[in-house]
Amino acid sequence: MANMTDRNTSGNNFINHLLQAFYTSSTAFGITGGTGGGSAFTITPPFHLRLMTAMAGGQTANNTELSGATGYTALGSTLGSTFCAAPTAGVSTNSNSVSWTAGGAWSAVIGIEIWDTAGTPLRFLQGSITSVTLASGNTLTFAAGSITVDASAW
Amino acid sequence: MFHVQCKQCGKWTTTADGSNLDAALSCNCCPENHDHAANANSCPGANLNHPDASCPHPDGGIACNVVTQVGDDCPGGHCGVGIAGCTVCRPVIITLLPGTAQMTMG
Repeated sequence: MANMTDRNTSGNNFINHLLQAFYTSSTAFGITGGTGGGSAFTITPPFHLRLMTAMAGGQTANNTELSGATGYTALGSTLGSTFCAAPTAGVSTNSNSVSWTAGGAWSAVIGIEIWDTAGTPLRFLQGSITSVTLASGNTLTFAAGSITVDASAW
Repeated sequence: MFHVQCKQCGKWTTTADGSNLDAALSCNCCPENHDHAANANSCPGANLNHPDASCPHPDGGIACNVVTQVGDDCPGGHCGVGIAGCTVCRPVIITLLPGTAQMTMG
């Protein structure tokens, strides 16, 4: 079985174009496939960062979002008008920081998901993080550059 | 990798272990031998802003930043930094540093 990746930036630079289109645009846009290219779909920034307490769904199903945690609002917080700066060699990172302050003890956060803000939001990315538990008053911040989108992980 | 910083004094450290980040940082704000979260989570006013909760500390105080901002009088009468029996632990800022979270499509 051949697992294909291509981060060639000296050729058609295809992967950089894709990443930049998906995650750098600040406005909604649609992609319409050609004949046999599947259904058209729309990507609607800004993207939101959601915190997860269980990752059983992995890549194939939604994971379990943090709930009952004062200071955190369901469906997450914005990653800014532009999620990522233009990619380099098939790698993008978040341009803006995102923070929450716990108003009480929080359950352990073990993963994150990134969703757009369409009327019915779509999930685009997910990943586990080292488990972190917040005490009352603590602030959790994802610094700019802390979230990596690497084409080799598609 | 996590960056952990005390909101009160600004002292910070970094660690890869997220299991008890409140214990990862030692500072001189509190004379008690416990970590940053030891009592903050037990404050009866935390998460409630004291609308109906009784506070065990009748002495009055400032600097509570669990349910009020630093410098504001605490409606629950919390003690302050350096006072024995204080239940107002100094919260921390936990920052995920660049390169910490690797995403995959999904």
